[in-house]
Amino acid sequence: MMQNQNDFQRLWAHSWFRDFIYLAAVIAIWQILYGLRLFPAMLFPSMWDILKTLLDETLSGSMISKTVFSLKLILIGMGAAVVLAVILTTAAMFSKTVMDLVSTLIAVLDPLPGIAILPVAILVFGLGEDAIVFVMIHSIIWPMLLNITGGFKSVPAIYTDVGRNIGLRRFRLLWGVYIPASVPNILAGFKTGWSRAWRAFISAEMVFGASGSSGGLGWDIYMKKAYLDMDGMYATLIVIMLIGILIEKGVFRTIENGTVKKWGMVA
Amino acid sequence: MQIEHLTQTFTNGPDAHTAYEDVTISLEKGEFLCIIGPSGCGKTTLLRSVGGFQRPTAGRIVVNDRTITEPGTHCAMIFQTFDQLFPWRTVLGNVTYPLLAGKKCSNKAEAEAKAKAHLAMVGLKEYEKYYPYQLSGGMKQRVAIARALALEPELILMDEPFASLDADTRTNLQKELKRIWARSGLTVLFVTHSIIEAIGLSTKLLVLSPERPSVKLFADNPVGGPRDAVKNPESPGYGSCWVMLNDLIRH
Amino acid sequence: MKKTKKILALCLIAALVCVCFSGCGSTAAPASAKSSGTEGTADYSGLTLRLAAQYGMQYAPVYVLKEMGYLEQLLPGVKLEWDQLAGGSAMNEALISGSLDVAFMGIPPALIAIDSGAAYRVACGICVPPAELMVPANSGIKSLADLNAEGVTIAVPSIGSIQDIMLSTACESQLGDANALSDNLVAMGNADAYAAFKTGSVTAHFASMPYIADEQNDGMVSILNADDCGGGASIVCVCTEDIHQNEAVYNALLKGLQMAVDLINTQSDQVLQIIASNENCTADEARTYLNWPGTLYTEDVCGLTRLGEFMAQHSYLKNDFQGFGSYTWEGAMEGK
Repeated sequence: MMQNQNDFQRLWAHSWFRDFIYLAAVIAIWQILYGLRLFPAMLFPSMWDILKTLLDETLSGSMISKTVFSLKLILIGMGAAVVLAVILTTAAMFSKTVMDLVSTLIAVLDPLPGIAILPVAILVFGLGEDAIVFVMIHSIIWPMLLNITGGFKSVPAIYTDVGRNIGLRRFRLLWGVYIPASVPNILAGFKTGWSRAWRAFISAEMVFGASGSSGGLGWDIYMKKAYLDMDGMYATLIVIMLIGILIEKGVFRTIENGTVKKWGMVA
Repeated sequence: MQIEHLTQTFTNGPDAHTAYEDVTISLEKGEFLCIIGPSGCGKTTLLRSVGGFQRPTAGRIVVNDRTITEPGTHCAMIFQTFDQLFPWRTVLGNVTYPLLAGKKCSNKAEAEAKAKAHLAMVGLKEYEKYYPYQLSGGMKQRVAIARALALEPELILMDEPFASLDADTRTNLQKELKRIWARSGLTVLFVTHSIIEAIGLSTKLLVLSPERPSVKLFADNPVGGPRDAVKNPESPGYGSCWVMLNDLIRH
Repeated sequence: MKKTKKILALCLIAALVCVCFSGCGSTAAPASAKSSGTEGTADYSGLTLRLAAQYGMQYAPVYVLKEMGYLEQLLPGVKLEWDQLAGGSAMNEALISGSLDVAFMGIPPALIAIDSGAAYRVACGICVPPAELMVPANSGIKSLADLNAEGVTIAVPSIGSIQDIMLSTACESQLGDANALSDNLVAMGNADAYAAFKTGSVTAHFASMPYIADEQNDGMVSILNADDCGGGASIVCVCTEDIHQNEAVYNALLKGLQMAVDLINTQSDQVLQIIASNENCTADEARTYLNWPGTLYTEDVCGLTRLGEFMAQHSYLKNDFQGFGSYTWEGAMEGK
């Protein structure tokens, strides 16, 4: 059987080759749809035009500065949410009252979309980056807390028994047993939080925009829609997707390899 | 160690029942006590109570003049399940970490040296860098034993640790355990289903029963033989002891 | 074997996707304008007109058109679907994708779309509204130059809106640079902008009615109006090629709007009532709004050439300005 494998099948075994083929297929389908003029060409431009615009904007630096701006704010939001989550989960593990409070907060606030909170945010923080970061933190933290506390609650009793047997209490038990045992859940919480952060950021910028010379990718989409620059709008969407892929493969995959995969804790 | 008037009743659920009632025994340091009995007589519950994992309904447990109410470093417990190792630590890490956590060793180098020695003792020297998920059940159990022994605790609690191992591994580990015990003066509480294992390893025997009285027998192991060896059918008094235990347990 | 299966699967997926999308595409084709017959006597019950407008005093003729039922009178049996879309760019997308027939918007979004190749054109105007740049009375801001600073935020309804463009024209004439204040702009709907302006979250608000009046009542002052920007500009009615081809419907649209405009200019109690109920104000307030300086209700299209040239010059449009006629259906009257 092995000798019958041709080059294609050998290459197919590599994930990067598969990704490349899928991408090529998507571009091909897009161009077919474009050629068939199923949608008005004004709203559904040719993939080549989109890619060309993407290249132009990257080379001119505008796409890069907007991406950096977006990433900066999103990382601030993530960081703040993580710190808050750590504080809240630790307190929740030590006090039933706090745990109940956290559960209630999650149930009540998680369904609220970030955009609904935006007017409140503007009232408190004024227009600008602070309000956007606030909306982001709200979008990130509730699912993150849900994942982390869920992880803690489902740590097998045997691990905590062993932990207590060897003399771990409270903080040391949390750090030594609960947290490592919950890494799969914590990672899941991070992934959800990251995607929520992006969505909150983009939609917040699209709603009230950012003042200032730069602004992020959300504002960029808004501007391009206003001027019917569809090539540019899709180019920005592609950038957002690329960032997502990069983070997923570069960051999360790496963390997983170093923790969950290494320990055989993959579900 | 003294167990005084220990009673354990489980009241949650439709089948509330009393596992055991009014168990009183006393154990000197250095003894090897095998707890044996039919299923459901409360062997594991009793062991967990000594470990501090189970609050007794009545009575108390005293170890070294301290009443036991919660888990801690007063003993080292080897649980029945395979998966009692931390999956996020290597084999070596699983043995090193408790030493540092329980403050038995003051620095990493000391702890690692001790861990390595004990892993070699249970025959897992080449597997130090492996992660638990990569090991077989028997190997994981051996790591757990190495972990408990490395702590050099005064009291070791073992809950049918060799039950799921193959015969050869079991025999070897029994021999190893007996040797280590003889050398170190540990006190061991060993729960088992197997009469052969109970006779082979123990200096004292405790037979529990699901009927009343809960303690059917608490006595020295009558079978003779060297302290550091596993007693086998050649040892004097083996046969009659076996018959006696068998009668107690099966009826 | 495995290789051919994979390729087959990919082709199948591609085919499925095409089929799905072709299904979507055909429903977007405007099947609406197919009735015939002379207006007033024929039956238009097979006809559905999809229209969209926004809220604000500059859309008052649309309120009147709706409430008085002029289109229903002129096209008996016609079915009207009214939509409320947030801003010119949303309306543009709807018009281009074929899910809207008639829209009411400012001139800049219309020019941007037509310049990009949209198939619709301006049919007529409905109103030349006042536009004022409001700042708090005690802010010490007296002119555009005072606004040209870090941290200053000016709220406009959206980027590419008439307010945005008007501000740019004023910047060019007063500060010499059309983009002088573009870093200070924040896009917010009028209602949100009003709230933010009141609480001081934004420094200035380029407002339209009724917010101009409300803000003046709150003690804000105007530092710029339409005249400073070269004159007012119409809110226009645009319609698609299909509607334009259907003579009866097109004429009915123009006539209905003219009737609405005429009625407004009478300022009768009935009109004031209609405005009051739509704008949630009293009849007296409605009267004040109607008489605000700079307000003109007319079907003439004002300011298109001026704005068009400005926008083309400053790259808001991709191509040069092609002249009034290129952006309107024939018969549209050009105002001042």
